[in-house]
Amino acid sequence: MINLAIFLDFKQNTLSNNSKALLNFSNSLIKNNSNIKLYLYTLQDLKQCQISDTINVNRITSFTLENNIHYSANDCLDSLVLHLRDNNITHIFSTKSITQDLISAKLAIILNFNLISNVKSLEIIDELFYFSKSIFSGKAIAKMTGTNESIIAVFSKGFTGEDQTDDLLVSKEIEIEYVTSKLVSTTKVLGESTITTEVLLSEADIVVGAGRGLKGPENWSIIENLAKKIKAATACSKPVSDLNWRPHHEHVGQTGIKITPKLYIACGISGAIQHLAGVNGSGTIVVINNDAEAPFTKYADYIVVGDLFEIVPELTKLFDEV
Amino acid sequence: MKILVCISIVPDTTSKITKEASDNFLNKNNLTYIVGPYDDYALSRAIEIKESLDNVEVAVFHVGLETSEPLIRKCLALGADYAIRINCEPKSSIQIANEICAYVKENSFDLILMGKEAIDYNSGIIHGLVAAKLNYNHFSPVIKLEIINNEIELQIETDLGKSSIQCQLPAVLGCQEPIADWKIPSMRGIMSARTKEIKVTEMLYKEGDFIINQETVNETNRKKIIVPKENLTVLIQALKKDIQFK
Repeated sequence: MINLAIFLDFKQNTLSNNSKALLNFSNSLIKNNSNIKLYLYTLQDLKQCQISDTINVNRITSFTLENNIHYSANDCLDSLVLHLRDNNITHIFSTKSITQDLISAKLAIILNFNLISNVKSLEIIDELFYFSKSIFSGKAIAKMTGTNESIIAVFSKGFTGEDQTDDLLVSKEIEIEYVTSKLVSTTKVLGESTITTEVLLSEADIVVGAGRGLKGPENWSIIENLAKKIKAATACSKPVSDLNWRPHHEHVGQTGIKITPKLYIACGISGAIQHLAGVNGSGTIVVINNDAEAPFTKYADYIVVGDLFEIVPELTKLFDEV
Repeated sequence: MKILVCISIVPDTTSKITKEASDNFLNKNNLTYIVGPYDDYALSRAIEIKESLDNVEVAVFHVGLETSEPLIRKCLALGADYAIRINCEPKSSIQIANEICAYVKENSFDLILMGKEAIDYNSGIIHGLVAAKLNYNHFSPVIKLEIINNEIELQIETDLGKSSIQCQLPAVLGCQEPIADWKIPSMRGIMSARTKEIKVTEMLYKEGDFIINQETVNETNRKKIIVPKENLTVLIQALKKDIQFK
């Protein structure tokens, strides 16, 4: 018997795209394996979140920390561990986020589970778990098998599940159980700042990225206008964030954020191998560059050669008309 | 104060990853290796702390074979006092975490720093496993680190933005830029590193339950269609076909 706990992630108060994919995938697992029982958890306070119409289990446990101490110590998880043990949880699936990464490692040690991160796909054949994970920043894939018991798997952005179905996503009345940990911690939060953008880079279906071809931070309005028109998030290359033209959290690449949007439009980015490592999971890639020989042109679906200061505004205008 | 900086040794970020069709694993020869970029930032910050405070000792920890020693020597040239190398080929995160914990239990450290992830296998879990095993405070990714009266003040990235944190030692931190200025060794550093000690011990722990049994190169075939700039309408139509715009 597999007692599978799934940790759902809510972004801007709605279920994240990755969590939707994970839930969908887990539903297909249950359909094919009658010995799996599903338990839902979340680390968010569901009071503000919309949870209807996506969940086919009638109970979800919302686990939160009262003092907002960022899961810095093992004892943060005492009540969660107790809850998981009470349900005899044998497997835990979650999607990659900073918080989930922090707690997954702690749970692996406390519960003595095997932890596998960055999971790209999972197949269960004859009750054996076959994982594949993205390595070398997306340049390669590793296949792993091991023990079938006591696994924590953290699925990466844009993972693909076999046999995804929508038919189990039905709306039900959901009972929410709130578990709050009250802790006395020596760790203090001195201040917090929240990124306030309309479209989160990590969640975006469309991303408009720009590089040194923009010539200076004062020229970013053409990128922002295009992004706004097509409901995209904005991203940048490493040189641009190193020059402080754009904030560090927009840096996409091998040592920055890795993105997997359906569409990535790269403007004035030559396509250094480090940048490609951050975007190679994108669905469709459009490159706008004045250099027809730029490395990025070999890794793009559509290439527009020319002056981006003419092409980007024109593209913004045309998106309305076409 | 004693700081342990754990380093990975990984292919250079510009490496092209290849595989022979007959092999089960990627071709690891003919690659240029570097100290993991995130680990490099962690080490740079440790050196900055050593230079700004009295009585700070910085040790470098690495699990790997003898071929890693020139790069470990480079860390010593940057200003680390000595290094520890566990002589084995690392196979899994839990194996490396176990080796780090075993060493820390024998030789207590106040602060354990490493990059937020190694750029080869990208698991990003070793700092979390080490912190959980030792029951130390744990934060990642850390983008600022200051030592103030035997406590640390940090800036960390969170899922919502950033937080400033004050926390007690001991602690394990996963680091990323811009935590420190990137450094290159000075000639004096290179000379003095020649006589610094690299302690070598054999591995204590086995590789763990989850190991990689096959690797493949990830190649996405792209269409590479050149769109004349006068023809952007065609591009938009194609994109609208490819992607469902809301």
